[in-house]
Amino acid sequence: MKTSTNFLLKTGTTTLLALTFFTLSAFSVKSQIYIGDKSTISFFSATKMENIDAVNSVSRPVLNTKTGAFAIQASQNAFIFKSAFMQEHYNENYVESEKFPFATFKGKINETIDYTVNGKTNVTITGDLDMHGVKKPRTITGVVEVKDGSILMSSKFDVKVSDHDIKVPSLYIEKIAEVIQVSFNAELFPMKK
Amino acid sequence: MTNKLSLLFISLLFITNPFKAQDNPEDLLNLVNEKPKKEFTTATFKTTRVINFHTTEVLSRRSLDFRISHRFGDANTGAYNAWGLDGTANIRLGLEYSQNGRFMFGLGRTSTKKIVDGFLKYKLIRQAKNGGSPVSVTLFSAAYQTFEHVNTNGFDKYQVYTDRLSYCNQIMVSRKFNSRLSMQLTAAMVHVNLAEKLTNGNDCFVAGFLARYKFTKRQAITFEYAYRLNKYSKDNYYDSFGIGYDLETGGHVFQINFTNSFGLTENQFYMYNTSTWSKWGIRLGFNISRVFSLQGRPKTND
Repeated sequence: MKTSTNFLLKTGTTTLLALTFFTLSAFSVKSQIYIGDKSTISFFSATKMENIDAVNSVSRPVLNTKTGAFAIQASQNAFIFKSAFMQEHYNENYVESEKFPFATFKGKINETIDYTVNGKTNVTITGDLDMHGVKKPRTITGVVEVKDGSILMSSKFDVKVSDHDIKVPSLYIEKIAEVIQVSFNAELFPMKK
Repeated sequence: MTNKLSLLFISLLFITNPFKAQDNPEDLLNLVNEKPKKEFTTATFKTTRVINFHTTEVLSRRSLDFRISHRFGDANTGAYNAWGLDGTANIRLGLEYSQNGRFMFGLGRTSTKKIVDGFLKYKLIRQAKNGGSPVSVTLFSAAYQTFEHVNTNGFDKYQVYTDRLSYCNQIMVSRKFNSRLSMQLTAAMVHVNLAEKLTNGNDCFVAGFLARYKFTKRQAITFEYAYRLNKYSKDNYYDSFGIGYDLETGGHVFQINFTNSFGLTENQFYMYNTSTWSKWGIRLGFNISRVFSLQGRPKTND
């Protein structure tokens, strides 16, 4: 009798412990992954002759709050221009989206942030910007704001067209800026599974 | 028993911890990588025409295309006529528009035979990557009216108004094989209300073949050929055959070509080619397409 109770108790405790551990670990790891459902990446090219801008609002950034790892992949085809003509040229002649369909950034936030407390932090992210088949190591500044369980990220940075081997024919040099201003805004929520 | 259970739970822990790898930014993207999305193929051909023939392309949304098409005279007219450059020339001015990028319409005026044409064009099926159609299919329908006055010996050729009209319906199927090579098959039917001679028929059926090969990002060579399927006249007419060169410069596309067709509308260039390549009955020609984009950003790309 005594042994059997002991046995039951023992098994029960193990089960409970294991279950708790299992759910806890799963929960805690899950809650450290944040995914952006609402995000916009836009870029702006300003010259005396012409201003060109485009918006991509379907990219989904991912942030691991525990490690600070951050990644985003933007489909080149999903950049929407005011003029359909420019959009075609962007894909066909400049970024060659058939060959290089995505622009990606993968990096790590250098600062440690307490994601349990509301507040804004100025951050730097170091990583690789991969576009048009050319990977460039970059450190980009931005702002991370923790707001009631969601994380707001924003950043403005420049991309030099020639850094990514994107050739602008001499005919258009006056119409397309050498340095493109990119701005990024996203609201990230804990990942649901 | 206890050990077995613990073992089970421990192994479960390892199996069901999919987040382990996500410490690395390389793997983070795997969490959001959904299946590749269906993506419509763009720019199968550079413009709505390859040389004379319509392509499956429809103007992009809110685009207005002003087209100038010009054909010089036959090259075999010799040095005195500067191999056709002195004339006789044929020119078409056209204005074409699409609001949504699927449906377009256009109006044009051609100098020879004083033809006004109007057409409707609809991109029925769009070629797409990742689970879409392998080809694009476009429908085309046009009507033509000649405004010519032909009065021989007090007899008005166009006494009956409807004699001035002719029509063309086409179905076009194209495929962009890769960023360089695109091909198209066209089935066309032309109906002319007035057969020029008693022995002529009113209908002409045509099978057309078009191709484009892009050799740089902005330059391409083009090809078109139309085989006439039925005998509609006892006169010697020839199949239309042309080769061309496309140069794209931002808002303009320049097309320089050589073709044996003098006509610039379907009711002419499919049916009534009096010159042939074998006797140097070709002419230099060019098309200029200037697209004006009316600004307006759509919500999505579809």
